[in-house]
Amino acid sequence: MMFNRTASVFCLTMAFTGIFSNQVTLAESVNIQFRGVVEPRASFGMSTPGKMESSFSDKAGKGKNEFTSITPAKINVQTSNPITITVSSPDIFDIHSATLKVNSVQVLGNNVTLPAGKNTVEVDMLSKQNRVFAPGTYNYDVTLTMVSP
Amino acid sequence: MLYRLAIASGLLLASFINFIPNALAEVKFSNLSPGVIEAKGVDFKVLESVVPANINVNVPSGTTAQITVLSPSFASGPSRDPSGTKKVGFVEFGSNKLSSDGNNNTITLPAEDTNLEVGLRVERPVSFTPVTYNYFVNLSVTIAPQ
Repeated sequence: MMFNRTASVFCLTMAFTGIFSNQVTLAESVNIQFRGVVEPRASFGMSTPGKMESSFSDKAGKGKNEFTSITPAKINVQTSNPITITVSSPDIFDIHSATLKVNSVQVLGNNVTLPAGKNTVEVDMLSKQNRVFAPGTYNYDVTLTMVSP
Repeated sequence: MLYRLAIASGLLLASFINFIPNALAEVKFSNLSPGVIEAKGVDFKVLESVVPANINVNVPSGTTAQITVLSPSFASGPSRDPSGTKKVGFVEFGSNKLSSDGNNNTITLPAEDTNLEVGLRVERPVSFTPVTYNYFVNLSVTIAPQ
């Protein structure tokens, strides 16, 4: 009688254990760490050359040429931090000037601080010379320099 | 009677002992080396692993294990992930590749030791501002007796 009871308990225990063993699942999880430093960076993108047109005037026998841009040069500037960009004068003599537009806003002066992100910088230039240019094609360079403020 | 009781107790104990190894069998993680992430692209909107994290996972024999990789989580940095950020966690071992963003984010792990390579990619709709970022990828392993 006693053995029967014990056997019953044992069988039930085995059955319980068997069921439980088949159903148990354990979950473990782990977090994998990643670390990185985003360095301050700034870069110029591809530039699109500007286009100029010449005009000639002759007052009192003094011939005068003038170059003005009809299409501004464009360049994209990508920066992670605000930077200051400065435009140089074109590499010519006599009266000349270059002006900047940043994101379609005219800049007063020869430098401006660009906000972080992508900016479109447009460069216009004007050149006046008190002499007559010989016919042909003329090329001018304008230098943009960016520095961390 | 005492004899019978002793036999029954012995058998009962044996059944529990038989059960214990399965119930207490655990997955063990070791040799964890963190990963390195770097900003990519001209507009600094992508941060992804350039050196994968490594971890060894030990699956006890006699069990079946499945691993799931979850989407990366932001831990610290100068700015939190804005709405619209796309985050993907990756795991590779052997020829197996898991990705948290698809249907293949879970796979069966072989028994014993497996070295996992873990990576991530975070793409924000805006640029990452400079300085240090920390992310983590959660791996979850479930085991069941075979």
